[in-house]
Amino acid sequence: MPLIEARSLTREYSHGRMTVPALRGVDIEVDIGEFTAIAGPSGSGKTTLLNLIGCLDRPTRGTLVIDGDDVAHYTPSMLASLRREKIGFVFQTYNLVPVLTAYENVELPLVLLGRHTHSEIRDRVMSMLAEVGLAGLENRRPMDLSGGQQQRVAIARALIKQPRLVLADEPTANLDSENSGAILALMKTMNETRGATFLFSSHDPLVIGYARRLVQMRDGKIALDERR
Amino acid sequence: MLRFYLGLAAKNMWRRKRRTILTAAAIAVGIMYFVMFDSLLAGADTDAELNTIDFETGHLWVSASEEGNAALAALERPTLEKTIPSAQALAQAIAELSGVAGVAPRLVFPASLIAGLDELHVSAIGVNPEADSQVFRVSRFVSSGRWLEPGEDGIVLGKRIADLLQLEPGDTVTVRTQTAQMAFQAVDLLVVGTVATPHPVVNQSQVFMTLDAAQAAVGAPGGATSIHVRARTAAPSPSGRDLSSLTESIAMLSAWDPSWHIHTWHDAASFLTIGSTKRTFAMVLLGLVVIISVIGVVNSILLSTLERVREIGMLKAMGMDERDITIVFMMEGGGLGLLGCALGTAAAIAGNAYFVNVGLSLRAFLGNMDLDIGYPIADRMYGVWNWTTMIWAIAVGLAVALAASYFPARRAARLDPVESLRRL
Repeated sequence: MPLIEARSLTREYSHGRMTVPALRGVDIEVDIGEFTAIAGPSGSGKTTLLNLIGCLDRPTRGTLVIDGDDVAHYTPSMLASLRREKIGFVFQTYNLVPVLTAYENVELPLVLLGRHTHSEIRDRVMSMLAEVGLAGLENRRPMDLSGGQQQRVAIARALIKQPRLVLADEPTANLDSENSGAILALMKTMNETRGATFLFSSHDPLVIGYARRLVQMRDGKIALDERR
Repeated sequence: MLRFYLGLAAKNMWRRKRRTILTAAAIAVGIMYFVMFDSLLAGADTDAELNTIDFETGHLWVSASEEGNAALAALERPTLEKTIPSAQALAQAIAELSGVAGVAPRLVFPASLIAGLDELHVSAIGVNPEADSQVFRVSRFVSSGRWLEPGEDGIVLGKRIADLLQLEPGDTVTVRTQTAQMAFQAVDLLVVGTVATPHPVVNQSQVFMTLDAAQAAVGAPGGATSIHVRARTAAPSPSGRDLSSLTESIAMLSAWDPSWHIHTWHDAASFLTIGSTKRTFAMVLLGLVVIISVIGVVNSILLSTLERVREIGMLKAMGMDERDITIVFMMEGGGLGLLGCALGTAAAIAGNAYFVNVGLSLRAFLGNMDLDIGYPIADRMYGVWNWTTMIWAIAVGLAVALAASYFPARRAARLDPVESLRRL
């Protein structure tokens, strides 16, 4: 059974009397453990597709099954619960909480799950921070970390709850090539060692080069879907 | 999870230190003013009650007048139409009742004081110097000279009267009055002292002479217009219920005439009837606290949500639902309220300590003009410690801060995560 199964996925936005289609009947399946890049020019529908798969948005039409559940008609609360349990996010601008330390940012998803003891959380967070190369920096706030370090914190935050799926929207867009390479290498390592399914968008050839599967989008449709 | 939210809210609160401090300070000032204003009003009530008892009425008094407010009426517009004859016998009978600490007959009548070319209308009060001191406190506030001695033809003047007529102990003053038989009579009396009491009416309009001299002056031998009683009670301002058994005992005396009346000090405390006005003032101040809190907290939380739209989107992406987001922002609003309440309470305690111990001089506002603010208190108002009011103010401040933060918090919680994450 695929982890993600989208059929005729359509998303239209209303601007006054106009309806603008952002996604036009996309069909896609993603299996567990895949490391997939969604590429395409701006406005091709990459982010819209990630938002729908990440349950941040609802499709106008079509079906979306995640981990066996059709989520198209979930309530906002059910969608929040699904995101909390099964999906990790990495954003282009990191989106760390500036008043929290690196440790507290990574701890947040576990706190929201509410099923771990304080010591369990501490062990897992410290271990995860070490795994992403941030040992010793756990008490620093985002403003005291470099862009690459902040994105490592974001990756640690996305992976700490061992989600079924990690969605990354242009995760290296704000990083230089050296840091981009390091972050992609880290994501790939996490994919291989932890078995997390990664789905990330980019139009950077360097990033796309790391993917084992490339989904090329154009005008809200999938133009190319190839496994390498 | 709540602990984490509390920590997050506390840290968020300090993101904009200046805004947080200003909002909390506004709430604090509101609470401080409310508590201190209430303290002064309550203090004025307490002082006024004690002054009424100590300088006007005692705990209760017997008079031949059925006028409920007879003591004040007699003091301001004295009349001899109704007197209690053989007042000393009734006073003696009352003094023998249990629960009585002192009994003082008084003969109150209108008089003119004449000193040279100056003439002043006053309330003349005939007193038994020793018995009067067991009920009233006038004799403890002699500002020059001395208090009356039994049997002498002396007079003690209210300080303001002495100042107006430029009299001092050793001077002679003429007291002109009308007898019960409507004949004019004038007697010369030696000024033996002046009194400056905390009760402005005493200072401004009362003179004291011995009961014998007063009875002779008005031609009412053995009579008194009222007999005042101080009960033996722990409460300085006993309630009507506290005094009811004593009232019943007096009415059952053999010397009692059913046409006489017994009044408690409450009947003379007309200032208590403006309690509703005071409550309105207090409510207006409390309303201001509420308005300040609402504006401050709504503004603060609204700005916080506008500044953190992307962050809210990220938190929703992490799996926080509307309830969680609402809770975090309401905790932030509650924190602002708590900080404001803490600062306000600390400031109120400090300010009130000053009012309780030093008081607020009314002369600072009114200058040296004659002070008559319609309250039987001196030129200084003192505060009291009213912890119930303080707890109420804190509870209202906190509840309002929480309630005021609810709507901006809900607004933040309902933000669309996709739109939020797209926001720069």
